[in-house]
Amino acid sequence: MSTGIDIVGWGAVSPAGWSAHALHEAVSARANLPITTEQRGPGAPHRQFRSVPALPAPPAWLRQPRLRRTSPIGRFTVHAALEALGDPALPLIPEVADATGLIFVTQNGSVNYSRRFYAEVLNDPLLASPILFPETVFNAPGSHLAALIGTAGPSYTLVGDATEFLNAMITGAQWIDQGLVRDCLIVAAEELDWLSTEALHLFPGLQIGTEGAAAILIRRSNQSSPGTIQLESITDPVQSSAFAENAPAGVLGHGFSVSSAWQIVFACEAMRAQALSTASVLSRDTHHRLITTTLTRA
Amino acid sequence: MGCQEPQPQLEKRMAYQRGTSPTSGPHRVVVTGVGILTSLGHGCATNAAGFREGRSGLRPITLFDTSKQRVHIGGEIAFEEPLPTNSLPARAGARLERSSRMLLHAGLEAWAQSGWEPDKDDGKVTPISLGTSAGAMPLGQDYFKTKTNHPAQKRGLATLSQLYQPHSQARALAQATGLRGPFTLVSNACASGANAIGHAFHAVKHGHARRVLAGGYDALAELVFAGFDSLQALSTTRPRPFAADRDGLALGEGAAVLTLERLEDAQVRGATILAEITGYGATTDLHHLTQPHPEGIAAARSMAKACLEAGVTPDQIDYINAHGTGTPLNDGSEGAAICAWAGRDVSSVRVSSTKGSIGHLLGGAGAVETAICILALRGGWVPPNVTLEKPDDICRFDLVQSPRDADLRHVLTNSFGFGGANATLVLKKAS
Repeated sequence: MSTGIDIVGWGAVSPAGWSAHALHEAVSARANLPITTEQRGPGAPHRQFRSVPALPAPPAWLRQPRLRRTSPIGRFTVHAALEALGDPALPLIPEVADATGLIFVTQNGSVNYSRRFYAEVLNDPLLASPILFPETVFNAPGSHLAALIGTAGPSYTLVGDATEFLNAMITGAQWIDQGLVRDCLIVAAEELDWLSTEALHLFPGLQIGTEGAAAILIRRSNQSSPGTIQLESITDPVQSSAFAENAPAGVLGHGFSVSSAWQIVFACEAMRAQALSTASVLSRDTHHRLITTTLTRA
Repeated sequence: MGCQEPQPQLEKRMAYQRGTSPTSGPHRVVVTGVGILTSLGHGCATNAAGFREGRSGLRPITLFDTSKQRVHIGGEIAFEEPLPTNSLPARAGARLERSSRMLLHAGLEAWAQSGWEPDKDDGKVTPISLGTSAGAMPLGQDYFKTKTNHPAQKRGLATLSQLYQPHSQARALAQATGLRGPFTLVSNACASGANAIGHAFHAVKHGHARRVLAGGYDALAELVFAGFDSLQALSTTRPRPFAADRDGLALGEGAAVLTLERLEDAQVRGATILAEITGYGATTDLHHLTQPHPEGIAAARSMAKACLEAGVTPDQIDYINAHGTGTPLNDGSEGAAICAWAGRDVSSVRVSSTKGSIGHLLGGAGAVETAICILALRGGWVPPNVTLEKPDDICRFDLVQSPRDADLRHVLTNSFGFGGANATLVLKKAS
């Protein structure tokens, strides 16, 4: 029987910067992050988005051969995951390859390369790039991450809406409870593209798109040391008209599948920074149902 | 994040709660319904006959223009029958795109066979676990073309973008069957369907759910077809898995759905038990994004894990439905994995790939091949591989190339995907 699950590491990439700390600072301060407005061409919507700032210097992991071809989603995935793992040394999990599970979550996937590849197909399929196509597959970012950190255990890519990250947390907790893995890395990531950002204009209230990633590392509780963040509960979705503020979304924009992941990481960072004993995270899915995640501090 | 906000009063039904585990388990998990749709036809009976005889369902592709591509055939489905009566609202039914229709055909067949009832208002819900690689990709293609050719157009695009989401396909299946979810959509490339069934198997086994509707689906799509062609992965002749001179795969489309439940529940209901799922292994091959390790190390571990859970040894496996795509790299790697896993028992292990008959169904492959295994277990036959002039030297196993009857007790099915996603399921004949 499970004694519980701890969140032992977390990381984030967002328009606020390349760390969970930057996310927490920006959201806590309700920072007014810059919005870019662009129009792709005559007649197209004026799309609005907040993008992830450029890294000041290329990180060491970018030299890994498998990451050279990736679009932003792959890089966001890796960076957030490495922050959650807490150790920049690579590979991270060489001796216990099956002990760490990996769950990658996305809604739009590698939309940059998918759009580019399909445009090439329509132009002339015989000239469409074989370099682009493999990167369009939903599980490509998770695959790159697994190879980079050296985890050869179970790995799922789950496709879903803004709350899919919570489903991934439940799945990861079940894997640990069933003894399939010792710990589980859960990452959500999205990248901006006009294809998905213009789609936001089709739905009321979803005007500003954004991109980035968030990751947590969960592990079975083992006499949690003081200050450890513990996953207390996740409810089933329920219909509710109750007010539920999504503070990261208010500051960053609509992050698709990363929305609830940023909420969880923000809560973890806030609990650590402010020594909060409990946090309730309210996430709303595509069908306007509310899911409550409760975290406590040991 | 609502740290400082007053918390709304909600009905607190917990999907996860600290310190609690399912109150029961492990449970034996049985299949009480199977639905299958491939280019060989609709339904279990038609597909059982087709696979038993080793028929081919490959034909010229009519769904999109392949005239500029190297390859022009695939396992395209001819929709000859309307959907069975179901509870999907008429308007939603009229909007179903190709992959959803496939999913519903298979799902409703499994549903009818199982004798399941819709979820009631008692708070007990039935999860749906599905695998797909491309989802409703043709809708995504339509969206892109509309946006490119008519940048100002809005009409119809909101619906298109909603239906494109894989959850929409799961929701259609839920509405058609009266189930309420939650949904898990696994997109592990070509292993998706097997992962989705394995995920469902573990959910029931470990007491997280009493029953789960599980399967996989994918429809042919121009983008994906061109992608495999760009990689030179498609056969320009005919797909012939495990042949020494194999030159690639054929793409196909289809779906399969299973109803999984606890053995004791099925017995209480008096349901017909079609097979038992006994083992599931999932590993990740770190070798390359699109190429398996030549020695099939992760594939062999996947098989070993599944057999360990099933409590069987290689000599007890009566048949392997191989991933067997027909590409030089996959079949060599998988062959090496089977040899390493089986050891000295390898010569007696019956192996075949059914992808020579219907093509590679990508996210649907693992589910469809699991369904084929169940049909084979029940019928007492082995689906033949396409006939080969010369098998690859790696085939030290019994590669079944012609229709063969056999009393099968334990069978194994492999699914290996892009990104190194490996999944293996072990099934047992219903006793």
